[in-house]
Amino acid sequence: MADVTLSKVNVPPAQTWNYLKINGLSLEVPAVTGGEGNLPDRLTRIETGIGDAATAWIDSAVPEPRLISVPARTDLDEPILIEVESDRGELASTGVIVHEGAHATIVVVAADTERAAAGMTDERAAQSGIEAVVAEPGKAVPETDKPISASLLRISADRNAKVDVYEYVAVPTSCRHIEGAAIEADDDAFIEVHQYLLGGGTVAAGLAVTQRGARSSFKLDTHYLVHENELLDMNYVARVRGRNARTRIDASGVLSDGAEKTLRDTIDLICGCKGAKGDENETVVVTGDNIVNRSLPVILCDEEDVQGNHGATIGSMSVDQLQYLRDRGLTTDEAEELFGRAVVDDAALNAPVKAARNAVLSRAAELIGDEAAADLIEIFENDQEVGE
Amino acid sequence: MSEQLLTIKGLTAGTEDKVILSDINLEVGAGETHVLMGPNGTGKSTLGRIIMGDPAYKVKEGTITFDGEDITEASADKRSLAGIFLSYQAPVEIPGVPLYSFLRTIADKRPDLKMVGRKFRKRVGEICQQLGIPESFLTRDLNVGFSGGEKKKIEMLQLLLLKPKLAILDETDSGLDVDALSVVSKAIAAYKEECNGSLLMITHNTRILERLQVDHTHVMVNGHLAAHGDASLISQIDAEGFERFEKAAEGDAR
Repeated sequence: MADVTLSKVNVPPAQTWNYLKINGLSLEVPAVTGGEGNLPDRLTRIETGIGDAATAWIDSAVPEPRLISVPARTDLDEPILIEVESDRGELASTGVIVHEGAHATIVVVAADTERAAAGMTDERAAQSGIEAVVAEPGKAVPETDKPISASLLRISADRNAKVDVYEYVAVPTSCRHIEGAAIEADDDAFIEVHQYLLGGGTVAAGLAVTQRGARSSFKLDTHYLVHENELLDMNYVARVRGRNARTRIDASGVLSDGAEKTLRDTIDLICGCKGAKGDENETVVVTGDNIVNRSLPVILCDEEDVQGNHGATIGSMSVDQLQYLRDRGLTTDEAEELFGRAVVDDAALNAPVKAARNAVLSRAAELIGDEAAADLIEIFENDQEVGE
Repeated sequence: MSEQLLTIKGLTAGTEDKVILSDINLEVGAGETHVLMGPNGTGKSTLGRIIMGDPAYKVKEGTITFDGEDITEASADKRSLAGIFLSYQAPVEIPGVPLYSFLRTIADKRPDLKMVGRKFRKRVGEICQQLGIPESFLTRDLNVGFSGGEKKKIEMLQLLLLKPKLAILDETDSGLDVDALSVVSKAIAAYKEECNGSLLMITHNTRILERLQVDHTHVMVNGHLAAHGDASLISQIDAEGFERFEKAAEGDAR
């Protein structure tokens, strides 16, 4: 099947100089036919973070998207689970309407699910005869040859609704993935999104939230780990329209040798959102050489009575932090490795369902080494606590 | 007489361009509790950091021997693994590193503390219970957003987990309310009881010493150890302050 180019993926609302190479991402994807999805307008009209072209591509590839409606004033017992098999290039489109006063937890897991289902490391997968999608030794798989998977999640949260979203992207370096989200929040709606982006040859994560309701609250907490020959491209957009809305975007991660990462986070304080407050914060730990780290934090403001704050800590550990860790017995290298391990531990320990946890464990050896991965896996072996 | 664990001989040290400590001689025996007191800014914390191997300070003269090994030139991580623990007066915040990952990693570095994950979680859970630390803290970033008292409890959690041979507690009692002080005092007593470790307590506050049997007290003035004594010296300082030691030091300087 012929490829098409999605030239404007993850485009931020405010553009900057092209030479900075931060205005968007271009992706070669297989041409698809299928037709329009059948999600209601109230979902399809919501802005997605990944951009129109990528949204249209996923929509046309998934003719029968999944639609879930959570009735008013109900609390779903089980999380809504969306699993995407990255190695097979699976595409998923999901719409969730959370009606007034209802509560839902939504979990997206993108991984090599055959291995993740067994909670396996590469080594264990190989022993079990499961074929891992890896490049031949000494050869890199061309980007366009890598399978590309995608998940597009649209959420409409009515008044007083509460939605917890967990997105786990743990796809192998030999795969690509698009993780898209579009959220709309009505009065007093409360949305929390936890993202764990743990690798993939190219991963584009785009999320846009429209806070049209007064006093709505949106919080995004992204943790990522990018390794050699991997590209992570993030675009987060918060359109704040409602009065006294609260918005918080936190992104923290670790870049190791040869990693490439782009983060765009925009809080758009639109005329009428009096009393709104928005905070965006980024913490990046750089632990190697030949790293590309791009950030585009933007606060757009068209209202007077608002607060917008941005903070960033980018670089290596401070002298004090390093000394504290050395005082506890870690060498400089081990102190740096701790940051990577911390992301993986955090992802596994906070996994709301077993599928998410297994996705983490399936990549753990590649991310933090065999010994630390085995240690983590041992903790959860025969564990029935999560998602059972 | 107990076997010497830490021996500092003729130590003169400071930053690149300033001498802070002069001719320090100190011996700490295995299982002993030493208290180091003195006015503010006199070099007490600097001594703790130099024993721990902080590269911000240079040893210009003298030696530091720990457990029979000359560690004067050893890096901080090697000293830590040898069994020295420095509890910070102001523990450092490390965003992005959950407390659990940190504890697991530093424990893994010590062969006698290596254990399977479940057993480790159980052990950490027990210490948390002992110190009144909610287990939810384990998933929070190290020292980030914790109160001063909570940070000191996390230092004590590390102390009880790592079981060092020598613990240097740098004003662990500072900024603690009565309840937190009680918890920290109990933790120090538990460390002594469980590990029979040596203690070098740097403090201004005699309340934290109430549960401990102090073997030796040292007074530091202007970078010198100006006086040595037994536990009774603490009550003298409590009643009279450091004035007489400062005057004596001034006299010596003249």
